[in-house]
Amino acid sequence: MNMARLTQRLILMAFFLLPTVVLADLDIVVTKGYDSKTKMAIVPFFWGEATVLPEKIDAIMTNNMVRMGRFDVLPSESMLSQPSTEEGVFFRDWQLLGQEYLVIGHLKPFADNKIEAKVALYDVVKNRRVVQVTQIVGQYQLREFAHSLSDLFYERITGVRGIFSTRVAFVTRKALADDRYDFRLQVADADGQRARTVYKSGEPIISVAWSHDGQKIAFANKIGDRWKIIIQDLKSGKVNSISDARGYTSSPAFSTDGRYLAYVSSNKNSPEIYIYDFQTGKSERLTRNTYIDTEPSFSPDSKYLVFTSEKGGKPQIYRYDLAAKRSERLTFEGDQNFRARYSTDGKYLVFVHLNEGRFQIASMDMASRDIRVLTETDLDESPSIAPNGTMLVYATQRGGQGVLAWVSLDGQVTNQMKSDFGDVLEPAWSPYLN
Amino acid sequence: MSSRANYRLVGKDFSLPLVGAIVVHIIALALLIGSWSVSHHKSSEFEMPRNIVAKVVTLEQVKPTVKPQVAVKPKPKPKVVTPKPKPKPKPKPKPKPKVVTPKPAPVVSEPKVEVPVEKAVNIAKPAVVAAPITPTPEPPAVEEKVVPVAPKPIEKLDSTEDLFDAMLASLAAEEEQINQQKDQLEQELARRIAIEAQVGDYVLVITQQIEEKWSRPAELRLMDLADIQAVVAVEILPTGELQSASILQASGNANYDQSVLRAIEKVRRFQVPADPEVFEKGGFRRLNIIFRPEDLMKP
Repeated sequence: MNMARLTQRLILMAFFLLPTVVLADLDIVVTKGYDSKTKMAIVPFFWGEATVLPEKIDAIMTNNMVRMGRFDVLPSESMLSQPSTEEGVFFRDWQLLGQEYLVIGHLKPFADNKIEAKVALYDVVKNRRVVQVTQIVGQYQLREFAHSLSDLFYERITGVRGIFSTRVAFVTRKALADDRYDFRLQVADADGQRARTVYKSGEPIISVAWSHDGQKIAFANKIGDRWKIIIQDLKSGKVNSISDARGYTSSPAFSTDGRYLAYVSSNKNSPEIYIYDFQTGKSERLTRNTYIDTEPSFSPDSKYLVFTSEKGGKPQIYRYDLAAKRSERLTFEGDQNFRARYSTDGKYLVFVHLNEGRFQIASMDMASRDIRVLTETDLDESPSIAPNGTMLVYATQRGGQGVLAWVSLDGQVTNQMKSDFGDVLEPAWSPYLN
Repeated sequence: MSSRANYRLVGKDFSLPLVGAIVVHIIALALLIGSWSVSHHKSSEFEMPRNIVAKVVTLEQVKPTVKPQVAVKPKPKPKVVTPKPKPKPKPKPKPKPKVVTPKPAPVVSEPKVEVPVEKAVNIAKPAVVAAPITPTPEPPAVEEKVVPVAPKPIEKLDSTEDLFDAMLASLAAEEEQINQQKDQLEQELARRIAIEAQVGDYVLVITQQIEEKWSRPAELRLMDLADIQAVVAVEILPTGELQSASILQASGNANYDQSVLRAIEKVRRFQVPADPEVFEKGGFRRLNIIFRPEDLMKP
């Protein structure tokens, strides 16, 4: 009797306990990441000659990587060894230093005063070589070579195309005597180095825009009491202007194929969006209202134009459908939204977002129309986004002078540049150039 | 005649105490069984300390223990009082299934036997194991156990003292057995609770390890992340070393998938329980890691 009851109880208890015995695979949910910087070692490249090369490739690459705001480059003093060939690479050493990637390079003289460079990128986490480049370079191409190596390695590491070989255009303004100014349009490497002047004027230069092939720059220049759109061919140095009798034109933007130029003309009381056809030489008016419409920008497929309009009372972003000839409002959040630009792939819109008195850079996912605030800074002037969407360049004030500031999407200022020609204004990041 | 008279006399003298003894035992038994169900609730609270001591022992002994018990029982019957058997029974988690075997046992015993199979770490135990191996499995033991009540009285019916002893013995044996089973159940339960607690602790640690190493692609900040999720199947050695990692469920964003795989690879050595039982039972050998960047998602 008791035994029977006992048995029953035992079985019951055993059943009660059973489920805990057989545990399935363990699930772990990771809902956040530290986003710590990628640790990378760039070993000073080997050069066995007594002569000094005009550029240090490893140093340029180091600066490039650091400027992206996502890399932590190991100082060369902290390296346990400084290999220049694969035989000297011991992954363990680099793992001990907590590194994820390693770059080594070996340079030696080649005919015609050229250099044979052998450079390799290693993945220290996976213990393998990622890519190796062997190239003959001229002594005065070392900087370009360093940038293209940076592009290649950056893309292999992040899966995103690098922007080190792109350019940045900007305007400088220097006060001269007698209330006169010297305005220059300059083009520099993406890091601000090697700036050269491509256009000069005694009057303001604004709204700088690149053509998609990177060959031309359009901008508005005040000439007398009018604003004129000028198109500068960077290769030939030729300057063009679109014929517009109305006189106040600004905010040019090229279509992807380069056939059209969208711009703003304000001859009829309020600024309106026009589109100029380089083939026919004719302009067409797109918007018709009594409000300000400005800052047009083409979508990469050239089917749409985004622009800023005060139709709703305050500046907001609208999208004009070029086929349907209709516009719709895109932004509803925030006090003001303006200066919209498409990302290179057309999936996002990046713009200035004014919310409770603070200027922020925000993006809109064009699929969901969802807005995300990217950076919050006191930099409220004309940001321009890098073609790979990972960096912005702004004009800002530092020490009473206008400078350029490079900011990563998580808000870090990673580089600043001032100019010998006074304040720096109106930066415009070029598209990919190759 | 005299024997009859004797019998009566004796009967008169002993009938009361005998009945009393039986009643007392029955009450004791009832209490035991009754209290048992209560105690099993409490067990969860006081278990924690115990488990640490019992940990390593329990699992390994599971197999061997079964036999020692069987062997021990037949002998103690004669006059042994409960205390003796107790010392050994504690570490034995298995016995209960076996006792139960005659009826529904199979269901219970199987799963439990499976668990211990995992590891043969009992380097210290072999000696103990060797001896017990000889006796034949449980079935015989169970028969002996159940039978005693009937057969023995027949043999020794001649004296009431014997009858009394036999009864006492069987009651004692029964009680002993119940105690053993109770202890074993409580231990096992405690062990499981302890394991689960450890699993929880280590899951937190591993989550942290991965979070530290997870660097998301920069362009994620531009995206609408509503449903982005990737699941990685990770195999880990008992040393914590990463054996393999592969995408079980892709997110649809190649760079994102790469970032989660890399986070795993960067961890290199996971902090897993040193106790092999916790490692295995906790499921650390194979982890499913779900990556969902809630911190980047719009509130």
